[in-house]
Amino acid sequence: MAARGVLVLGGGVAGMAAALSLAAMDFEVTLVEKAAVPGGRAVGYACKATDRCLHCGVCLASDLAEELAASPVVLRTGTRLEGLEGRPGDFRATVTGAELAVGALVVATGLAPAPAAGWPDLGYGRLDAVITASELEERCRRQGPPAARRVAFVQCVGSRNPAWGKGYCSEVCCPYALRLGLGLVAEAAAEVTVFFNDLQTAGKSMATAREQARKGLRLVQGVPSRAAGVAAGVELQFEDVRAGGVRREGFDLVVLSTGIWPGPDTAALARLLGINTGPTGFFAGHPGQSWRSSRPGIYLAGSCQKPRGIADSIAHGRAAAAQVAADLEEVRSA
Amino acid sequence: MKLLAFVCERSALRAAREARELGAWPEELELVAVPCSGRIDVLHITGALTRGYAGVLVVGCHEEACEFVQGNLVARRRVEYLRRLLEQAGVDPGRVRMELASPAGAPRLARAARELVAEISCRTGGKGEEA
Amino acid sequence: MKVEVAVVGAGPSGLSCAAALVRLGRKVAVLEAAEATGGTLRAAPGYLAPAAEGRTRLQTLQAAAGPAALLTGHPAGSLSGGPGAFRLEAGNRRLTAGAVVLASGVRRRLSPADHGLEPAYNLLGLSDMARLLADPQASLGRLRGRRVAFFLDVSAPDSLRQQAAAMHLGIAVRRQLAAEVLWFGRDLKVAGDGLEARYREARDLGVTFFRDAGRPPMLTATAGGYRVWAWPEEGGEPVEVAIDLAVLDEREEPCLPQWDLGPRRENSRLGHRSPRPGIFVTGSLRADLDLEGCLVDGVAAAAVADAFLRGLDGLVRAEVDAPRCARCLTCVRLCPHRAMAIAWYREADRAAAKVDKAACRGCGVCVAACPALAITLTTCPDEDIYRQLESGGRTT
Ligand SMILES: Cc1cc2nc3c(=O)[nH]c(=O)nc-3n(C[C@H](O)[C@H](O)[C@H](O)COP(=O)(O)OP(=O)(O)OC[C@H]3O[C@@H](n4cnc5c(N)ncnc54)[C@H](O)[C@@H]3O)c2cc1C
Ligand code: SF4
Ligand code: SF4
Ligand code: SF4
Ligand code: SF4
Repeated sequence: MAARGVLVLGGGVAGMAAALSLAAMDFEVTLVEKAAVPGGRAVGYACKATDRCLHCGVCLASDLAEELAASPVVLRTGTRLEGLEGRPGDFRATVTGAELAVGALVVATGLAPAPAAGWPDLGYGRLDAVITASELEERCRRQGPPAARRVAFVQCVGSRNPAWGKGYCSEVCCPYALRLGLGLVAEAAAEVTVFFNDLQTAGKSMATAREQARKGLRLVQGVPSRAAGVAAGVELQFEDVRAGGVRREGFDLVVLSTGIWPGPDTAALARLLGINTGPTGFFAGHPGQSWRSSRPGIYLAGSCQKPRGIADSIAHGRAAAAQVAADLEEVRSA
Repeated sequence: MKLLAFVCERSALRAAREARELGAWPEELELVAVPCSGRIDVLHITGALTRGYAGVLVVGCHEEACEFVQGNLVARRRVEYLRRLLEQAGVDPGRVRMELASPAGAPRLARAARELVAEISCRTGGKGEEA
Repeated sequence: MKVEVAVVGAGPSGLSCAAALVRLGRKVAVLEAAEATGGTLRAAPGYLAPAAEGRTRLQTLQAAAGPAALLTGHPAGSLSGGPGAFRLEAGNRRLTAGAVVLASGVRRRLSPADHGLEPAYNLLGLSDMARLLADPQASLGRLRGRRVAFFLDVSAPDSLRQQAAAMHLGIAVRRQLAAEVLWFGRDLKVAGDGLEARYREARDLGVTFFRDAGRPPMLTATAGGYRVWAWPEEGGEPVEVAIDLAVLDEREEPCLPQWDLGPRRENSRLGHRSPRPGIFVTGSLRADLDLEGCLVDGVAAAAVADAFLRGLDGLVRAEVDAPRCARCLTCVRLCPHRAMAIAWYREADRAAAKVDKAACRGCGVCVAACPALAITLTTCPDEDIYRQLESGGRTT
């Protein structure tokens, strides 16, 4: 029965949360994930606890993945959406190797980190000691923190500049840089410098990290403009906004805090599904109901709609689920 | 020599599994999974010691990340209490230890586990100890 | 009155939660202490969003939450019972509810002393400023062309909501009164919905931003206003400006009812849940959310509460062997989910600890703590643990 079926596209935290909520509301949910395993980006991140939890939200991804494995949600990995026909309450979705009758579709295809190679002056791809925050996360998750003494984080790479069509703050990169930095201090006794424009450290969940960061990290306002390879690592050139003047300083490891851009499939999916994207390239949500797309019967969840952290993406996925459930009940009773 | 880790299902079990996949988990350290580290009482730990385990690790979630809010803190208090008792009884309290972990913190837990194994095998000359 | 969900607080998150629950077919009552719904959206228009946008949002929310029983002037009183059957007192009403969603937000209070100042007529909190700007009776004309300064990160350091409010209000002041607008704070917050764009708009309108380098600005009262010294550069010379009106950030306190919500500590795993099963938390009470965030959060909490009500039967986890119980209250005190209470067992003809099955989550904390060994955890009994010990543990 189409109206009891829901297709969730993308198995990151937002997609998993939406699927689990819908399953708990007795819908028949199929989760279509293009990768080989569900979980999205967040299951590859590292815990950032120092002597206590810093509330990065990464355990939530693990909790959802466990819950998903034990749930009645039908998981199709290595699968993509190829076509969609029909109307709200009665869609026919073609996915790799199958056709599904569903009442609604939740799009949760997530984000892509800004392409670090887009800023050649910062040395990514040219210098081995310049890496992205995603690469650092991945490394910490599998091997623990790298043994570099002087570490610099460069904030706002690919964010906050309308000239790139990205005139927004990515919201998550300040928190993750501070937490990752604190982890390096605590576990690898590194000296960490964070170069920032404005530090986004709002909120209760940041309270501990904020306090520890102000004590344990060197925070410098002003973002480096170029990186040069030197014998002992990387030399960054930056304008020190607070102390004044252009300065140069050497580091063993430079981490680029690449911001959140729309996921790689966003534009193609928007065409396939007939839904709108906004000026920054994310799927466009309804004003005040950001979990609704421009097309009835198709819903949005998580960071494919705007930059969102893990906890916010989960909340957004649940909100989408509540709307789907309500709308499908209406379709059925109509 | 064999050692035992009581692991909570929510964090430590998942981290230990991942560490094992990465080949970072010490072979000697066996796992017993419980819903929460707060489930473990001193009798479980002494039970393990009397059954020939040379050391016992209790692993719960990080502070402020326990699914059951404070099971990890309760467990830590119990382990500390037991360590005092062991000391009074003339048993090496270093054989029992509490660690905190996250499902996303496999390398860190593996390191703590290897440290425990190394320390205990060093103390017992690698043979384990009859309790 | 009997409802499935009682929502406490009719601000944006409470209304959006109630509306979503109604759409899901749930019977809902909303308890609101004030005489009208809307929370900050109504009481301080222009605070959470530009005034016109805030008004539209409020109308939409009120219409959508309409089918719920909106009990305004009914502050939430005492709570008893447990999941599936909470009993709530609210003013002269008594309710039973299967689940409760707390959306009671935060209370804001101006505290001039935090800024080293005495209360004065030309000193306002952010929410006063919002009210005045929205009030057609208010004579703000004398501020035309004068200088208005906003001071952030003092009473409420690192509050996204208050920084967003200052941004909306600064733009409104600049537009409505053609006053000169200055912003003083430590870290400019732009990590909110559309906030970066608002910041650029403010800058393009000529709002001046002074980020301090660790030392907050100093204010002294003058005849008609204040003199401000700010240190935008570490160890540098101060900038000195005269202003006519100072708008200060405010202290924030959570509006929590006097209930036992279980151990109160930050926790990353709980999300919309409180430590007590069946009681959920949403909106600005839960996190530092902007308006968009509150709207999402309310609906998300609705999904969580709805799923909770469907799964209420749950499985039996902890069980007390009543005759063995010594009534020492250890379990009652320790249970993080407040699932243990002393109750009468008719079969055993005595009082003993009893598990509220709908509240117990099976952590086993009580089992390990009971000195009388009177509690069993059906999902992980002692025998299982010892069997694993004998057989050399589990390898997976
Ligand atoms: C470097 C970095 C560090 C971060 N650190 C933190 C942090 O510490 N804390 C925090 O809260 N947030 C952090 N974030 C943000 C976090 O990654 C996001 O909040 C979260 O991943 C969003 O989840 P999502 O489900 O929306 O998207 P994703 O995690 O991107 O998941 C999307 C899923 O959809 C799948 N998919 C995509 N397209 C298709 C398609 N066409 N068909 C089928 N499946 C598809 C993908 O394979 C993926 O599994 C960080 C982000 C970055 C870049
Ligand atoms: S929330 Fe983050 S820091 Fe806290 S325990 Fe989980 S993974 Fe670690
Ligand atoms: S979160 Fe920080 S680093 Fe990321 S875009 Fe915003 S200000 Fe820049
Ligand atoms: S801890 Fe045990 S003995 Fe004490 S009240 Fe609870 S069940 Fe009874
Ligand atoms: S098992 Fe945990 S949740 Fe259940 S009654 Fe005991 S302490 Fe409470």
